[in-house]
Amino acid sequence: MNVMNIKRIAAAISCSLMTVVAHAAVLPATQTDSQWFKDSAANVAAKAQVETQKTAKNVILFVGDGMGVSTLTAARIFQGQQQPGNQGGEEGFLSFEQFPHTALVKTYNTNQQTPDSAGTMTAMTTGVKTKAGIISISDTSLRGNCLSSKGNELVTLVDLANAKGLSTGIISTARLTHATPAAAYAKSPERDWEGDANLPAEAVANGCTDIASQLVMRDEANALTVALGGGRSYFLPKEITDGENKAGKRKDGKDLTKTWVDSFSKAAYVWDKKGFDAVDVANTDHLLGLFNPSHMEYEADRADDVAGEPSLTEMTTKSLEMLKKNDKGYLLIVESGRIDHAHHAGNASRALSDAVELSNAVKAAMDATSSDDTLIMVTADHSHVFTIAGYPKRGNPILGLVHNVDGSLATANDNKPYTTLAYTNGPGAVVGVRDDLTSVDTQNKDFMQQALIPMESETHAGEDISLHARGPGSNLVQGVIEQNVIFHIINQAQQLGGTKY
Amino acid sequence: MKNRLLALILSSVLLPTLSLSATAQSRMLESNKGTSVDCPTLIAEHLKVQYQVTNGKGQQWEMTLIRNGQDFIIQRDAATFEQWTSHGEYVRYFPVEKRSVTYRKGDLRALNVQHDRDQLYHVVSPKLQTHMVKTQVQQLGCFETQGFAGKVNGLESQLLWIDTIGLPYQFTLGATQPNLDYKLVIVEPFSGDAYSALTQDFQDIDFADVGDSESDPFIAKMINQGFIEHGSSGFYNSEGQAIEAQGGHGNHSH
Ligand SMILES: [Zn+2]
Repeated sequence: MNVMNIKRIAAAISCSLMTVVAHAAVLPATQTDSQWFKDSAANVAAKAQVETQKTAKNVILFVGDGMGVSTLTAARIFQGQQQPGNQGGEEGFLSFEQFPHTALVKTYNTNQQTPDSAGTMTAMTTGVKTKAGIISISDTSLRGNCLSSKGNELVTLVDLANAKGLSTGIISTARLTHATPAAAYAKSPERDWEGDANLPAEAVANGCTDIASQLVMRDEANALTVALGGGRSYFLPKEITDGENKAGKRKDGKDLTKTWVDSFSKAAYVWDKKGFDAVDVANTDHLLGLFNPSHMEYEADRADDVAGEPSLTEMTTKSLEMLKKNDKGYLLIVESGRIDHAHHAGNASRALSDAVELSNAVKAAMDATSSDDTLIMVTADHSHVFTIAGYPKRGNPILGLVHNVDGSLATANDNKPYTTLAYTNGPGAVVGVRDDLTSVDTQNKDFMQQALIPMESETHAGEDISLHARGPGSNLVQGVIEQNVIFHIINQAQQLGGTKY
Repeated sequence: MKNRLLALILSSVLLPTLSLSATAQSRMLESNKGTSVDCPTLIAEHLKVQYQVTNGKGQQWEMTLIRNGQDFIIQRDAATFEQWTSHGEYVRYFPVEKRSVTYRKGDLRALNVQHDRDQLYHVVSPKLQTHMVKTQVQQLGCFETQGFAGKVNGLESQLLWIDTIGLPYQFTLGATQPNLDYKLVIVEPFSGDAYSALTQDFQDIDFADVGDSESDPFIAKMINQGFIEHGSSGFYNSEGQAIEAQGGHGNHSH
């Protein structure tokens, strides 16, 4: 047997193992004995064994609102540094970062280089990019104009899944009527039309309805099995004061929580942690949970909520119990909605703790499902101008001041220390005299870009975000893709396109 | 003395709790009127007070505080007023535009804004008295006041405190060379209904949503004007440091 034959046989057994064995002899022991070397070799060996099923019975799409790549890295370190016996924190992974397939996603809207959540989530749920501010209506429509939206409504993943007889669910820590969750079930040329009081006369005259009512006023066949999140005040009339002592915002006098219970079979409505914990899953087929008048609390503040709120992990777990009752399968869309808000406020800590909680929720979904029949995808809608900067030493606290490798405090040109995490703009900006750039050629190669631009709210960022996937169809997640490809991956994996449409 | 006492006794029995004329206000608050004064029945949790504020440069402005239970509103200029609710929310109102921005507890924490509710509710933090010495008790108009003197922020200061309503009659920071002076000029009862009417029909937005509302012309304008409150509201911050800013908004103190 010659060398070539041995190689072929070995390759047939394990391509990657062969690589390690064949080259080990020429590498020094200091290299091959290294834990870095061993771990990464094992990683590649495992990857070579990955086989991906094509058809997904169930799909779970997690979206971290504003969860760009720098947020993932910082959240991973933030999580790692809280674990006992960590080696600095950088070595850890968020749960979904170990999924076998990853892609980069281009997020721009049809009219904006840096996008908003309405246009980006529309791309994911309909396969079509649209303008910023528009919810599952095509780009042909004008924002905020009802008449122009007519005839341009798009069919969403939820519509398709319901038509196929699957169960569907929406979870968000933001208001359920907020842009990201709304794009999964509603059609509106204006993201702000969350309740009827927000509809202008033109919208009413031309027959547009508010987003909250679109969640509830559905046929039983196209109803959501589970909808959990915040935003209670858009579901209650202004005459009603809720359990947390806040008045509703509806002007039409409708109590949509009551409509939910009255319209659907085995329907239940809960509004606090106690009610949530008491849900009888076996005897409930349609569950609406609205745990806050507006957005739910940041994970960091959840314990302080008036009536108590479930965590994103708890909402995910409960939803899966509900959805699994359908033998045909389910589609669940889960948004961690407040990573975005914390970033807008220039507050990294809350953004990171919410991102870690999203990772926990994904872990719970991984534990509750099988990668043989359930496609789990984790992505973001857009990024934020959030940076990890300087040369902090290994294990430097991610929220701390930068310390050099020798342990000394790093200082900037103004002799003041600085933090690893920062924003390009936002409320944390230093107020001082900035150069007027009106007559400056900012494209000159010697121009120095300004940093820490003062703005009352930090902004989204336009770079790509990531998509992580495991389970049937996850092999389609590869390369650099347009955001609307996500719809088509789900459509293909779950075979949603074959029935009504 | 006799006349004033008599007036107070009469007031609680006879006087209606309606808005009072300017003359009545000044009589109520003036210390040396020999005539009988009409004093309204006042409930500390349901009243409106106005202070004339004078700073060291002689600039003057008005500050109005309206209480409704544990909710209260403070207005320092015509363009905006602010409300602190018992839910721990802070709301900024723009009456011309009929718009408002609500900062929920989580928003305030995320922005690292801390309000000394006690100080705002009482105009001068009640804690201040513990650092000062009691002087005399005086009857000033309708009110019995307890005097306090002592150093505040390193400046000799005087406080005339009305215990029944938990508010200063006058507070002067820097007694010899006034640095800041708060003088009560109007006090009247204020009903819960009247209070609710002040905040009716404002189109409200959560502060958390401001970042995603750049296309809203009002928000865009307000963002440019720097409307976000960075904890500069009020007379003393939690450390007892004087804040001289008139208006408060647009005065960043990170
Ligand atoms: Zn945003």
